Amino acid sequence: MIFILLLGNSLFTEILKRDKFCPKGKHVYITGGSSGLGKEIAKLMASKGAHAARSREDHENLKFTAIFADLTDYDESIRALNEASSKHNGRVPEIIFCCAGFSLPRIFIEQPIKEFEKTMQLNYFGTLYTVHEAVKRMAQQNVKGKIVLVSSLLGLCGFIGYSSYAPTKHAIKGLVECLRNELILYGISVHGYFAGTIDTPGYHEEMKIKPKVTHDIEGDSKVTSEHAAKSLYNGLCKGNVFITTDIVGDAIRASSLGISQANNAFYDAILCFIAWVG
Amino acid sequence: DYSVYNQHIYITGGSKGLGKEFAKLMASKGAHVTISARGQGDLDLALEEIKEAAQSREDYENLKFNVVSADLSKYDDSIRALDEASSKHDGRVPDVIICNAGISLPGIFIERPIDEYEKTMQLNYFGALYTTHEAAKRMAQQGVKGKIVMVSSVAGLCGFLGYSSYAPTKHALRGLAECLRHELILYDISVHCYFAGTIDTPSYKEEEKIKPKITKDIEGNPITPKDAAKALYKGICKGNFFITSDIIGDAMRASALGTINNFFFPEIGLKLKLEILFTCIYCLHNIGISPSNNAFFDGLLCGITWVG
Repeated sequence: MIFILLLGNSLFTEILKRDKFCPKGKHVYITGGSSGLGKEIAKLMASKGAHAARSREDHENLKFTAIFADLTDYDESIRALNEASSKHNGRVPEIIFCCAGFSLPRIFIEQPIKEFEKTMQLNYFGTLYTVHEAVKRMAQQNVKGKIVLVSSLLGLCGFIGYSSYAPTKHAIKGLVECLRNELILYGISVHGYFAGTIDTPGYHEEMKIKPKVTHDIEGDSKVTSEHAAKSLYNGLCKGNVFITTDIVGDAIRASSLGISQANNAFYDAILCFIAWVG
Repeated sequence: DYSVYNQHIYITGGSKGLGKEFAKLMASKGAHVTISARGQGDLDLALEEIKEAAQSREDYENLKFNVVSADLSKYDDSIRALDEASSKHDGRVPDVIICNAGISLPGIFIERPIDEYEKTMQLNYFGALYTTHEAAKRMAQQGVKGKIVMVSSVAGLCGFLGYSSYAPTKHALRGLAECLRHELILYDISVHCYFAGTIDTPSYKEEEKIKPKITKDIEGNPITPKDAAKALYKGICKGNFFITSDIIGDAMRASALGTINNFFFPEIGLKLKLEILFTCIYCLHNIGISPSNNAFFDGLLCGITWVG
């Protein structure tokens, strides 16, 4: 009986899900958009007809802009947002992707404290500064926008070597949850992307210093930035709040849900059970 | 079961609230206690209460109770505080570190100034990190098979309206605790994370003055610091990684799936309220790949909350 209810609910949810994602004609703002995931998202958004503030190409009526800014600095983050908006008559971008971030995996007691601080400063505060300002403007300008924060599977769990990184991605998850609740009031939707390992320039930098044991646990399976961007796009089109790249990610996500929104209650229940038993 | 007898317990933010009650409990069980916090006045008052808690013990004269005044959001001060605590024990790093110092400034996201987010992260996360990092190094060097306890919150398992400056910091603590649980096994150091519910402390009373009404409605009623301290103590003695203060927290920790999308109610206001209500009822399955405290009990709770 319960299964039927759950299944029924899931079907209704799929049908009635708000947030049909359509970037065409919208202004998309991407932090960390010059390489890796950010760059692929920009390309994908451009191919769907969005204006992307990221790279310098002119194509008919679409506007593409590159802005150089140190997003760990509050004033710089605001300036970057201003510059992006100025190309659209001061209107705040409708869709914000916060991808800027990095990781320095090391053994905890060997890692200098400065690295913990730098990582949190970009990964969490870099995101917060942009989102805080953008949301204020969306509320003021009555733009029913979309905020997408890039977390990681390491924002749902943690293991050896990632003690400077996992907390920053957990913090992003916490922010997604609070803002999801809160920004409903302004018609702004919020999504969190819990990516697994992505093959990016950043990843290659990481590999130079990553402890062997961390690498062993993580494994070698990774996806291309293009694939990751597509997974994110698909998740947004489905209206999922918590988005992952693949089934393993999904299992981790489903078993760490907390009171977060299940993407599909029935599917998540099965995954949850599998993850619990496994 | 773990015994705190004759162990040196170091508690940050130990002059008030949960920290102070835990310090008193430890003293009554025969542990040496050092508490650190900013205000010397509060520390001195707390010290009297801690001594009183142990007074009836036969070994009272052998127990060492100390205070250190420090700003734990600063790296140098955190190290100095740890040094001072250790100096009373021949330079030996404390056996148990309770990272409890923290603040909460609830409010509506777009209304709060950015520096509140920075301050909150600086104390709640970095304050814990600075002490933990140094303590773990020393435990490894000195061969002390110690314990590190992070005081997170149910807001570190879920987040809701009004806590956008606080929940990320408590989530970050959980992330840190999970990584360290894994990593510090190498040095025989055990790690615990306490997901306390709302506790009725002086800080809580301060919070209530600025908390948005809707956040209060969601949150519900607090428990006493004494009960919160007892729950933490029990969890540590049992060796649980994931410790919660009450059955709701437990259900939140172990339970089944997220919220059912309240598609029956299209109107926004009611929708939000119901979503929030459902989130409180349909608690969390937050184990992920963390160790289940007791697989059978958790499975049962999971089933109950999923059905309920």
